[in-house]
Amino acid sequence: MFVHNFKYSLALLLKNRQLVFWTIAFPLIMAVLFNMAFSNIENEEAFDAIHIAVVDDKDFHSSIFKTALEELSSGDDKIFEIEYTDKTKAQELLENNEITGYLSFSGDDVKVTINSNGTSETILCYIIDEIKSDIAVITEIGTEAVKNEIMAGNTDIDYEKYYKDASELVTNSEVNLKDTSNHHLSYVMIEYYSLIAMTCLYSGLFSMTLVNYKLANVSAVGKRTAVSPAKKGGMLFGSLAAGFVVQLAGLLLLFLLMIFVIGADFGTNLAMILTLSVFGSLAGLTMGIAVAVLIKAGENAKLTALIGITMAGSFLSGMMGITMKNVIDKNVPILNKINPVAMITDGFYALYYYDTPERFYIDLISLAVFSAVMLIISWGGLRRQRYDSL
Amino acid sequence: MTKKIIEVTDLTKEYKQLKAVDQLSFDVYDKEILGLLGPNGSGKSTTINCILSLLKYSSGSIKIFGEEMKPDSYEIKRKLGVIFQDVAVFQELTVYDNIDYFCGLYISEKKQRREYIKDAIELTGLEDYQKFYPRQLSGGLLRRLNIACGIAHKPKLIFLDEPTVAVDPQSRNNILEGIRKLRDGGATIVYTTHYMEEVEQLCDRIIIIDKGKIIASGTSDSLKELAKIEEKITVEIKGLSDEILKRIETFPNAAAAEYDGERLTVSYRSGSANIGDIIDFMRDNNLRYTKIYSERPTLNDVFLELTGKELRD
Amino acid sequence: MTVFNAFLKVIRKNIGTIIIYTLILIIFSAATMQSPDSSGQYTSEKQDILIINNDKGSALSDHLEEYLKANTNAVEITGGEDAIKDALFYREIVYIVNIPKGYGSSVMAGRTPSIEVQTTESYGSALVDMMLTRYLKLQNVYLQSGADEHTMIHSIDSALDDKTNVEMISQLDTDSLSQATRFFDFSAYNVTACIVFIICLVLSSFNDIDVRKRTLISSTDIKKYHLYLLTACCSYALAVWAFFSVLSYIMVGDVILTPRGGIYILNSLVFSLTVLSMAYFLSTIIHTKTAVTGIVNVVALGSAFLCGAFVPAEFLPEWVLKAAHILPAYWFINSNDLLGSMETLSVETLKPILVNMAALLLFLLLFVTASIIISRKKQKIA
Repeated sequence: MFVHNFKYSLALLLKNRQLVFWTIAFPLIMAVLFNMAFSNIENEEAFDAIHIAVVDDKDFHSSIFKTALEELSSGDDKIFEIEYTDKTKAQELLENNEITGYLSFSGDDVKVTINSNGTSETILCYIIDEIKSDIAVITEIGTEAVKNEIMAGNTDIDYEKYYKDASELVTNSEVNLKDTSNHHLSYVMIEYYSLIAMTCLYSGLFSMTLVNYKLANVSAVGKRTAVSPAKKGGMLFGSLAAGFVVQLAGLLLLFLLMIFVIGADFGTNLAMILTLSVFGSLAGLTMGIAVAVLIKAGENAKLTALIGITMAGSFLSGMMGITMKNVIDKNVPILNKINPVAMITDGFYALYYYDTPERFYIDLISLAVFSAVMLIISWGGLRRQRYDSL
Repeated sequence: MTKKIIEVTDLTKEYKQLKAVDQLSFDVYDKEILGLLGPNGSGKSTTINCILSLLKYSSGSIKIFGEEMKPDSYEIKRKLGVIFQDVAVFQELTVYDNIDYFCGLYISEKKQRREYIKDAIELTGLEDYQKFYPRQLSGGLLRRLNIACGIAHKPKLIFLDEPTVAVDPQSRNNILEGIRKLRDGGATIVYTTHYMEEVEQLCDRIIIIDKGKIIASGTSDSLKELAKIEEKITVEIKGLSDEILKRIETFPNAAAAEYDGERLTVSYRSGSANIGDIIDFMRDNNLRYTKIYSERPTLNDVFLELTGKELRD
Repeated sequence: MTVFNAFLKVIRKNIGTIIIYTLILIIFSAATMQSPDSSGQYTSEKQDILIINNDKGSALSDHLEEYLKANTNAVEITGGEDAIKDALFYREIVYIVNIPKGYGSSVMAGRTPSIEVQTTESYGSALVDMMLTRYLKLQNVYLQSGADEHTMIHSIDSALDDKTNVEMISQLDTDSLSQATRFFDFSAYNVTACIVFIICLVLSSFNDIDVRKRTLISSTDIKKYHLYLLTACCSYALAVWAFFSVLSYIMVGDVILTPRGGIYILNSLVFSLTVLSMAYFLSTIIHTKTAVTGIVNVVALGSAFLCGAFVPAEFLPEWVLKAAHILPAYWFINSNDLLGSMETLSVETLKPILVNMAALLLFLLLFVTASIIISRKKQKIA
């Protein structure tokens, strides 16, 4: 009976186009969309050169900035795309938004003209600031060195050399910053975790569909199976196993896509993630059973209820903005303690960001407990064979 | 005396206020086609669902094949076939796969199952539609598939709950023919319907149910006797006055006379020359009619007589 | 009239979905208003960071802390390691600087001890990174030039003090303009979802083969019937547009009432009509109601993600934007973005926006033609 039901339940699920779309295709599409939209946002190498103009006059040619700017606007990873022009033209370019800003020089000083505050404008000002102070430092150190030489009584001074040394000192100065931040913290990864959590919960659609078929008070097919000599336990077990297999196959597809096509970095914890996903799917599956058994309504109403619960859970666990999870965790912690989506996403955070295995295992256990509770509350309805009314 | 297949004793099923089935007792005998007849909401389906152990009932006992029927009476269930009112098939499976799935709940041996499925498809005339999906089938074909799913495992006792609702005449004939074949193959059949003609054509014995109670049972002929109507004479005539109608009602043997403006119907308890009397009366009173004919009463008349309401909805 | 009534019925039945889309838009615009940072706009606001100084007492370390405190918004976090991690995770801070014990003396001894940092990989954190790097570089340079602790601190201060002269010429109210832009960009998603969803549902019931047959044999003039249907669809699209326009005024404010705001609204009108034609086209190729929900989600989410409704277009990869040219939302959003930063409104500057509108109208024409061709073919088969 197990095999018979398993086989046909597989066919039932895979032939149900709506079901396959929402549980398998939709998460895949979302993953691709996330990737396309977010792939650049945290990718610093993909930084585009900033278009600026430089007022090309006498003062510029005598400025020390000239070499620095030439350096910054050449090569593959150049920061500036520079147009050398006169002041009127530069002003016009700026007004037409064709450049971020322009530089004009008077004597040794530089002036930056921009439209308004913005990302590129801030970076532009920052870099110019830095060049300026670097130049000042080089001059200061060079002058100091020369002064020292003179004080020491040296007359044969190679000024060029001292300034060059100072300049080298500045450009080659190594800064020792150790970035210990966790890269799995990125927004994109958080979106992927939410997506996996949502996909896990969607497995409820499978179990709900299958259980509906087994309940005599829900579907005509359920009546037909109820009057057959087949034992309900065996049938249900076969069906749910099929639901679980389809769900895992869908998840596997999602993971394969994310790892090999999109290139999401799940690090070394793949086994742990898969365990978490399996537990999450189990929670989804059992929740689907509970909705099918406990909610006395038509199939469409149940579907709406299940999707509604899943989406609400996703929202509270931060799918539409991570702040939500923080707010809930701080103010109504109980809500996310009983929210299976939050258990899954929290498990991911525990694994990747907080580096706290205890918290991960607590999440796993929570999911197991949640599944058990779902099964227990739907047990009576599942086992029932005789009804008060049909 | 033939063997009793089903014994229902004092079956009562109460919903909150309503007694859907009230102290119902009846037996079903081996290899007969029993018709359960009654208007919508009379308790037919409830009775069947109680017998099948799908519904809890308030009191009474139900035995099938001599044993008490319980939800876990798997050995009894193995020998049952049920065709419900609603079409119970999977939209996602083909005709063949649907039959295979339901047959597989009874028979796990594959080779035997394949043969049984072939027989069921033949019986219901679905040979050309094996690869079709339910949504591609017409209403009649869908009903036939519904039946094939219920009987493929060759049950000994078959329940058919209004299997011909909304079915075209060709499919209906096919279905009725199939039911007869099943009986000839040795099955006992319980058939519920509110179509009079079907019961008259098909059933060996009829039980009429109304408001959860049996109001009559027997063969088609014995029921008609019960209603004490032997003959019905209809006269197509226009402009009959009330006074004339009253005179007709006083005829010897006449049980009732009714006139709807076009048709005069007179029911007789017995007698032989009734039609002659009417013709004479018409001629004597100079009444011109277009048609006059005499009929044996139908079950519909019986039903009307017994319950005071029309059977058809 | 029956056509209108049917429309109203479908709308009433799906009012929940429409309300949800509207709420999403309101929540989003409210959120953007509160934190301009999340919209990708960076202003010179100070970043929230956490400074952990384990080397208190060392003049050098203390000075670094002071410098950071002066240039950022240093946040105190109580509750230990977990609270700090939470703060970074939930973006309460964008950067953590951890000055190790003995840092100052180690530097003075000529070593370059490392400073531990944690970032959120956001623009804000990149900025703090630049700030810190610059400071440490200066410290390095002065150290190598042989200065003592005191002179070093002094020199660093004076070097950092030297600020570039920046002139801002824009007279634009960039805050409300960027808000308007984000509102209209995001509305591409809601407009698409609301219009495509309802129109496809309604038209799929009207295109239902039985209903069609019934209409064809009814006494209704078939041309009039189509006209009614078209009017009803247009009215609905216009209603959606009007509704979102009013909403834009409520959420963004007076800027909507300026000539520039008028162009935003006009742009959104052209887009709404284009989406209407797209919905009409989709309804000719979608056959079942169950398919509508799926396709609406894919179309609305897809074009929103790829054209810059959710993530500003400037952050999207080049190739995605190139591919997005085949979607109407791209042209709509591009116009919004241009409007958000345009200095002056003139025929010259508005040219690209007119080009975008022309592109949208071209899409409209394309969808209408395609729908007509497909439904002609269908009629022949039927």
